[in-house]
Amino acid sequence: MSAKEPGDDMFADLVSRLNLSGLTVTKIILWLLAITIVSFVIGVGILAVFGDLPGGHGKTASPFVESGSLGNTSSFPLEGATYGSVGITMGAGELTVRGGAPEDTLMEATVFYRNAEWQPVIAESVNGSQKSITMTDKGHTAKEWVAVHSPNTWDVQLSNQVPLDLTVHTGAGDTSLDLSHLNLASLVVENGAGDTEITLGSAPVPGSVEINLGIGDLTLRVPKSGNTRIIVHSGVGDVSRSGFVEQGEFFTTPGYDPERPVTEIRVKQGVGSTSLEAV
Amino acid sequence: MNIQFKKGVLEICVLSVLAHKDCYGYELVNEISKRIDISEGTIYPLLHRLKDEGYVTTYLQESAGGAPRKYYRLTESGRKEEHEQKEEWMRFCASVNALLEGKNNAAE
Amino acid sequence: MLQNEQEFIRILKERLEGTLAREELDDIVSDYSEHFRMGKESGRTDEELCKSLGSPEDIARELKALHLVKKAENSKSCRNIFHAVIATLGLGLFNLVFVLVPFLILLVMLFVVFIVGILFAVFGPVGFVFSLIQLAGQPAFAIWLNPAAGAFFAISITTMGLLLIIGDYYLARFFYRVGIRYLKWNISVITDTEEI
Repeated sequence: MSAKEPGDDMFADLVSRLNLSGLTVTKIILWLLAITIVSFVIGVGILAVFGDLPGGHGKTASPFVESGSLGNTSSFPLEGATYGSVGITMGAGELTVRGGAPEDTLMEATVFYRNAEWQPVIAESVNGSQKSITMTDKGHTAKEWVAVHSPNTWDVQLSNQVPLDLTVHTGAGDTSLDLSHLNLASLVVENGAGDTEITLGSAPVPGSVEINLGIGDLTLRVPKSGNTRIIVHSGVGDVSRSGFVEQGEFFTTPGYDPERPVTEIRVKQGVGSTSLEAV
Repeated sequence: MNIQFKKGVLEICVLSVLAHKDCYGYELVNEISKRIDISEGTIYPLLHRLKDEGYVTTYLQESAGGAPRKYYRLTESGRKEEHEQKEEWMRFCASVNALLEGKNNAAE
Repeated sequence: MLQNEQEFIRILKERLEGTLAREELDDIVSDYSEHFRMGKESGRTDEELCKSLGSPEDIARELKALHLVKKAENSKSCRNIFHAVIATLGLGLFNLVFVLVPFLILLVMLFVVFIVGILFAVFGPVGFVFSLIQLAGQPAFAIWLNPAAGAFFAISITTMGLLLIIGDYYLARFFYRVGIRYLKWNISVITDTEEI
C-alpha cells in the first residue's frame, strides 16, 4: 500500500484545513453539547417559573404584578356619527372582534390582562359624520415581559348600525373575527403569526378586503348567497375551497354575478393552510 | 439472472489447498475445479486479492519444461486466516446438519 | 462463444487498460497466459480453456471493481467512493437493490442532517436577535410569547445546528469505512452468471 499523502484523504484534509487537532474537536463538541443542554434547561425553567408552559398556569411571583387578572370594558358611543373607522393593533395575545355592540355604540371593548400597565391605549376622533377609534397595544418593556404571564385577551364588539372601515393588525396570537352582521365598508387583516378565523356577512363589501398572514392557518367563511370572489396567494400550505367555484385565478361563490355588487377578497399567506368555506 | 454464492466459499477452498502445499496457478485451479463446479476464471482475481491483503505471496520457480512458473504460498497471516475461516465453516456446517437431522427426526 | 487465447487476453486488456496500473495489468495477463500455456500443454484446446475460464468481461468487471474499491479505501474522496460504487453496480442487476439503494439512502440521510444543521445554525441566531428586539419592547418582532425563554431556546437551537453539522461529518466518515468493507464483501461473495 502506498504511503498516504495529505491530499489523498478528504476527511483528514477537512480537519487539517480547519487547523484543528483531534483533541480540540472533542472539546468543541463537548462545549456545544453543554451549551445546548444548559440553554434549553434555562429556557424551560423560565417558562416553568413564569407560567408559559402549555397547559400550565402562571404563578404571580413578581412584585410588579397584581394578583388575579384584570378586565375592564370600555364603551365608545356613536354620538350621531353615520360612518365608523376602527383600527386595532395588538402585539401579542388573543383577539376577538364581532358585531352586536349595544345600540348607539360604535365599539365596546373588553380587555383582560395581568398588569395594569398593559391596558391598551384607545383614542377617538371625529371628523364630520365619521368617528374613528384606534386601539393600540402600547408595546411591552423587557421588565413586563419577564414579570408578567400572558394571556392578553381582547374582546371587541362593533356596531352593526353604521358602515365601518376595519383594520386589524396582530403580531402574534390567534385572531377571531365574526363580521357577519357588520356593515363592512372595507377590511384589512394582518396577522404575523397565529391562526386567523374570519366570518363575513352576505352584504357586499364595497371597499377592499385584504388579508395578509405570515405564519398560521386561515379559515375564511363566506355565505353562499354572497356575491364574492377571492384570490389567494399562498406560499407553503394547502388551499381548500369547499363550496367555491374556480374561475380563472379567482374562487367565486356559486351564482356569482360580476354585474352585481361584488365583495373582492385578496388573501396573501406565507406559511399555513388556507381553508375557504362557502356556507 | 442467476445469483450464486459459491464464490463466497471459494476463498476458504483456495486457502485450504495452499495450506497443504504451495501451488502454481493452473495446478490450483485444477485442484478446486475437480471438486467444485465453478467458473475457473474467478480464481485468479481471488488470488490477486489475497495477495493484496497479505495472505499469500508469490515466487517463481523453474519447472521441468523450462519456463518458470509462478507459485503461490500462504503467509503467516494467511495461515491464521485459513484456520479461522475453516473453524467458522465447520461450525456453520455443524449447525446446518443439526437442523437437518432434527427435522428428519421430527418427520419420523 | 468461440474464442481463443488472443481474444480472451485482448478483451481483458481492453476492459482494464485505463483503470489498472501497467504493472498490475501485466501481472493479470501473465497469470492467464500461463494458464492457457499449461492448459495447452495438457492437451486442452483454446476453446475448451476459454469456456472453463468463463467470460473475460465478467473477470474484468470484478478486477476493476476490486481495484476501485481498494483505491477508495486508500484515498478517501467523494469521487473515489463514487467510482467504486458504480463499478460494483456493474457486477449484477441485483446490486441495484443491494448497493445502489443503500448508497442513495445514505447520501440523502447525510444531506438532510446537514441541511437541518445549517437551518438551525442560521435561524438560531436570527431567533436570538428577534428575541432581544422583543425584549427591548418591539411587539412587531414578537415571535414567541416569552422572549426571555425564547432567547435561550434560540441559543440551544444554534448550538444544536452546529452539533448536527459536526455529527454529519463523523457519520460520513463512519459510513465511508463501513461502505468500503461492504463493497469488498459484495464483490467477493456474490456473482451473477448466466451459466453454471
